[in-house]
Amino acid sequence: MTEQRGRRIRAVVVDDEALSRALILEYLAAHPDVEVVGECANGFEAVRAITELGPDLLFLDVQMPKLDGFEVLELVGGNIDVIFVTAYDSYALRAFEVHAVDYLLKPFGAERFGAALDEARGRLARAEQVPVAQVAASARPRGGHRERILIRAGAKVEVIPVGRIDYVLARDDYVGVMVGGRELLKQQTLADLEGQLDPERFVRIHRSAILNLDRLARLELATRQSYVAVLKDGTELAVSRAGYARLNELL
Amino acid sequence: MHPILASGRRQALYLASWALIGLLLAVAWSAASSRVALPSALAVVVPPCLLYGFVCLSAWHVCRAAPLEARSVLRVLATHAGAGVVAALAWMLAWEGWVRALVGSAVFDAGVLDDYRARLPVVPPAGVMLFWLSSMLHYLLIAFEASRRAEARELGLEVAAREAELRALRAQIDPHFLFNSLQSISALTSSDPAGARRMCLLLADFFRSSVRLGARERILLEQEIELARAYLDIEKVRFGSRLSSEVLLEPGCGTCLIPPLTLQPLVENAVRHGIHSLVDGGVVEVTARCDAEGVCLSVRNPVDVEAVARAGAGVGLDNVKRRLASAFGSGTETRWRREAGSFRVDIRFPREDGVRERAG
Repeated sequence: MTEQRGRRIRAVVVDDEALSRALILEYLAAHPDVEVVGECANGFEAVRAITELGPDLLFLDVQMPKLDGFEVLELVGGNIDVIFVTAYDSYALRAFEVHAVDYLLKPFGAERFGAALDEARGRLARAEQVPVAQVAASARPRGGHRERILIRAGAKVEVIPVGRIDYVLARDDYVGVMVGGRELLKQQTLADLEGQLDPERFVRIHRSAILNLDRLARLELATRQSYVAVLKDGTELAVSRAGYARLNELL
Repeated sequence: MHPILASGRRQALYLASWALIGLLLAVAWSAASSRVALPSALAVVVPPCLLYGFVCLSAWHVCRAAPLEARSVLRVLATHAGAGVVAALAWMLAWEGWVRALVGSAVFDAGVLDDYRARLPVVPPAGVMLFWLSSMLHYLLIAFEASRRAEARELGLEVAAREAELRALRAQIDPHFLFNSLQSISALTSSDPAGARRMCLLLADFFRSSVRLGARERILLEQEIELARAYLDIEKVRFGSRLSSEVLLEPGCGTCLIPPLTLQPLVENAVRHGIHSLVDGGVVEVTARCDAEGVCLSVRNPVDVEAVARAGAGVGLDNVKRRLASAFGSGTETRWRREAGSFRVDIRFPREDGVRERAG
């Protein structure tokens, strides 16, 4: 066991099963340098706890109500060390892509748990950080398109099924996701989001806009050279020449 | 193996045919010639005919050496022409030998011998014809055997494919269920040792019955329902107050037959995709009803209204559907639908009744 450092490690335990959380707490009792500052039973609680408490270490289940473990990580960014705790070995690859400290397979013993904790101590001592973009990218299932996007405002999380998105606009470092007249800001580039959405349903019609094809009513000639997309709710969006070509291909 | 020698019945039939040929020839001969009495004709004709029967068995080798599908027609005909002539000459020699042996016996007088000599030239062409007839018979038998072998092979393949499919479809307990249960036991050992022990016993009972019943082709509906109850009891330890269940088996339906572990994956799905996705959990409802013709099972569970339907949830259901179809053929039905906040699967299959085992 490593020497106790000046500051205790602040940990949050996230697992939807009370018994499983209790086991982790029990194992942690043998490690006085770790202080459990939060216990969460679902993804929303986890995001809130992590945002509000800013822990150093996360024990994270993968399959949970509301948000899965990877989605939680995507929302809270990368500056936290994670030990995954799950019965499924199939997430291991994705876990290490988000630079997980360790991957504990249920059931696990105190020794194995201690080894994972030692690894976390080492990382915290070296103050290693995980790049945020990498975490966000690997939160998406491999090869598939996103079925929902997650938007966090403070500790509050919104889960938006992609079918509810009308269009998305570029807003400097953010994207503005338009959902039924509301604009939700998400820290991501438009190109990045474009890559995550199904290209059969979402089209980059302009350098600064992605359109949900379902919302398109018609295309109108704006000037001799340029078009505007008129949506079913009357909204007009500029269409670039490349965007027009992409639309033509799909329609 | 020679197709005729291979079977006693065929040998007898074959020899009987040759005896009949001999008989007909003898009758024809004695009818055509006044100097030859029927007994004499029979004595002269029948033995060489039977002997020639054996000679003609060799047509099999000729047929095999000149298979119809591989050779050109001309070569096949040439081969058989050659073989037929050789066989017929041999037959004529056999006639001669036999007639010489008969000379001087009671049935054989000078009149018969003269008439025989007069008719001897008929023997070689008749021999060739008979040999060719035998060739045709052998080709027929070869084709018949080949088609039977192909049929058997096809049947064997079909059986093997079906078995493989059944093996693949045989419902299996999700191993993660075991891992999660062991995690629960591990957690309980310090906080609630009695609970840990109870969980061990529940798990042991469940696995013992699922292994025992899973090996059978059909089990009683009440046994399947009992398995589902045992499964839910174990998951209740893991999920605590999040999981409750209502399992209803309509009276009189307990002895209906069902392929083992048909209901199991449905209940497993209800817990995994339903209860597990909900913060507060809910009730898994299992209902088993029956009427004179069929059995209806339904499993209902709450789901997260906001959750996007996950791809892959239908695979388990497709498996159940295919298993039922392969167990009962037509007349089975598997339907599922998602309504606001709940997911429901209904399966229906024909009713067959079994008997309870004597408790022992």
